[in-house]
Amino acid sequence: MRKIFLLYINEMTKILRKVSTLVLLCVLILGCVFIPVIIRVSDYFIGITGDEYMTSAEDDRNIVVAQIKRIETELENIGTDGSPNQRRIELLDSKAESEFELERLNLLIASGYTDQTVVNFVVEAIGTLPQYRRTIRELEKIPSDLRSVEQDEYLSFCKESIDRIYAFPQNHDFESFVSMHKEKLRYDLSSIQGDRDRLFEVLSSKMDLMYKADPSGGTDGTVDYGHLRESLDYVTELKDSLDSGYSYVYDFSGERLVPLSPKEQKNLSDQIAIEEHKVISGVFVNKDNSVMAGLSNFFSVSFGKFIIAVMIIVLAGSAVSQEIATGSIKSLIIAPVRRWKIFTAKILSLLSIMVGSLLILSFLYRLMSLVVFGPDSMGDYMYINNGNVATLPYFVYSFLSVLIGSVDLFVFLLFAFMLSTVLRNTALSVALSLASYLFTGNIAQLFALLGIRKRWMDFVPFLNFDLHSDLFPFADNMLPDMIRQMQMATTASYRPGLLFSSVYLLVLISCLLYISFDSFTRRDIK
Amino acid sequence: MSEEKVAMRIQNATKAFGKNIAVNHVSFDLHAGEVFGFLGPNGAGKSTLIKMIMGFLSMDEGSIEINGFDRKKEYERAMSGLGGIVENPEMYRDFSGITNLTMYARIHENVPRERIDEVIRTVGMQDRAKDKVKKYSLGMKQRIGLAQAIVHKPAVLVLDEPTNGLDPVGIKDLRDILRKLAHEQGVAVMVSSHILSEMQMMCDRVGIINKGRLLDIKLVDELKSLAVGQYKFVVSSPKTAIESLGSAFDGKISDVTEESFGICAEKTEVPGIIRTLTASGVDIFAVSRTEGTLEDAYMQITGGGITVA
Repeated sequence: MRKIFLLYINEMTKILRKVSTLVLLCVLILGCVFIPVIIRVSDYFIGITGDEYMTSAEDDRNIVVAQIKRIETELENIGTDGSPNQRRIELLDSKAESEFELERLNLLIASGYTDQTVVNFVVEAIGTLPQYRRTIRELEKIPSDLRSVEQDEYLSFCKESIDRIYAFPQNHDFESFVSMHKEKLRYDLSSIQGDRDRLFEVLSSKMDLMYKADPSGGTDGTVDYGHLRESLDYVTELKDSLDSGYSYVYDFSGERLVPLSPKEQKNLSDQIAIEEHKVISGVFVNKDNSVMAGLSNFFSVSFGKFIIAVMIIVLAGSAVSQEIATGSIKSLIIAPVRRWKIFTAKILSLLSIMVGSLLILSFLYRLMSLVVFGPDSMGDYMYINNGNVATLPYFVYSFLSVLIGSVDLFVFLLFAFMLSTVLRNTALSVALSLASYLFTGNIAQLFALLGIRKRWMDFVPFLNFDLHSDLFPFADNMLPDMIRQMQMATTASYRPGLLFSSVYLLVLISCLLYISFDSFTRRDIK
Repeated sequence: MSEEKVAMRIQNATKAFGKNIAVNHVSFDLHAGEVFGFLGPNGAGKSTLIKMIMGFLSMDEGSIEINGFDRKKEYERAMSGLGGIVENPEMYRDFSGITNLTMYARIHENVPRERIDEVIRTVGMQDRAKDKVKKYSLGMKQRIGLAQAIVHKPAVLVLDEPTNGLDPVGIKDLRDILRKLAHEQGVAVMVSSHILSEMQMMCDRVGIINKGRLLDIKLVDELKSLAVGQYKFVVSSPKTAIESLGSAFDGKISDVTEESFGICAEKTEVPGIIRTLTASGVDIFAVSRTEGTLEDAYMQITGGGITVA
């Protein structure tokens, strides 16, 4: 053991003194530092997430007023030259619409919401004002003796709702808004076909959750109402998918509905539990900074992993062949140690460099995102433990996730090392390993895109590298919507399963190790 | 140190590359305190044998015992008693000489820091030890290589062509270091070289290998006395003279000129040659003998001439 340790120290000295290692480590660190900074700076200048282009309510009102004037002028003209009746009706309709919009804007301005970037339930309620006015106008066109009981009820509901909307800026009664919203939902759903009760259940539970998460409806400034809605939209989407028993799959043949497996159903209900927990406990990831932090983390990790892959492949691909080429292997062979110890020390040193750089990566990208985007830009990892939501601190998660997500790196390390040992040709080993690393990175997505899902795919090595999705099924729930959708488009849909993949990888790793071991310990060095 | 103490014992060492048997059942003992020269033409198998000793090549047959330890059974103990250079000394080019030594010494354990400084002084590299190896000349690499080979005080030191790239002063220094190591510290030194005069000055015993077989082992003095002399005959007609000698001296006649020829012969054969020549009517003006060298002995044992096996 002691000899292996001493050899290991020598191997580490050699690796850490290599110019290529040092340069790539610097690139890794610079990348982790500058990617978040670049994203932050571009947000400042371009506005990735900003809403600088929102006009004020007053500006909008001037436009609407001008519009109404124009319509009135045209109406007067029509009155004098007796144009067709159809045009007159159209003009009256758009005049009514513009007046509803004017009423909305006036109420906004009167309530002090001139700045349209503010989002809360009052603003949302005022936003629905034109809808109610429109409905009332439509219903009132029907003579009162011809209206059905339901239509009468709906008409009075709409009128009552408008009164409530006018009261909201003063009373901030979110509960009243929730009940009003649910009632409207019931009326709206009555016109559609299908399972109304189920849809009502899904949609109204969203309103209940909103009330639970923030009884002020966003008016007291503690919770971002817009982001809360986004989170809840996601929950609703998940619930809808779970209730319907189908999920959407995208591939070459287009968009298809695929029935959910029991495992997927379990995963969906777990995700719903997590999302609801986040909403109720007030842990939102959908903050403006979260989108940038998510983008930055995504790019930092992909970039960092690529740099580490290049570094590891270069090191492993030259580990034996270069020593033989330069003759420095001589001082290892003459040393009083069995060759398997040299082999072990070499593998261990490469492994340490890999894990070490992954540690640097996972620590650094998280640290930078804390510094640049603030501590609340990313939440901890949440998962389901015995039916309850549990959390894993982000630093622990980021390391484990980067490590488990790098199983492919380990396989390629061994592959490059094997080539280096067997072929004894550095250029060939490095080139072959790098080429296959770059090629196989996209193969899973290619299969997914072509819509191939066959049993033999279980035995394609590259499809077994993705243990991350199996071990951290709720990783996507940490991401803001925008990033989540970006990632959904690039995730392979076919996975052979955790147990199969683990066994497969073990066998693959053993084979690679055995071939290199046999070649290294038994072959002559001429 | 007793001359008889066996530092390394090689028995039936055999190695074949395909059908070509490079080393064929070679056995010999290396004694503590001696400098043993290993001679043979190119391709005779001496590099292969040295690589087998140093652990680069596996052995098809046979055993090696170093310092009393069987290499197969106690590899690490056996190898810790061995130091050496195979072909050119190669080290980590981007590291300094001293770093290379430190890394090598680390694997041996129990090599104190002072010992590294000591060997650097021994090989006269104290001024350049901190420079990177890639800046060294071949001679400097040989010196640092030698320092590496002896840093752990091995009982057996094996050097493959150690005078390569050394200037005359360097060769003399090396010779002094090796003789001192062997005769004062009891190290068993084995060198291979193609420069025979060097071997003559450096070695106590010489082993001669050709076509994979160890032909003979002799003390250097013994070998010299055994050496066959070259006789120069100045005669009236070398052509007639050579014809009259017939087939008895085929292949032993050289340097034929208009008035003389040379012949390789035992001392006792000379009167017979003179009688034959006189009987054939050849006038003999002078007969002179040149001193026998290791080279002559070597030529004789390996079959006259450097043959590529």
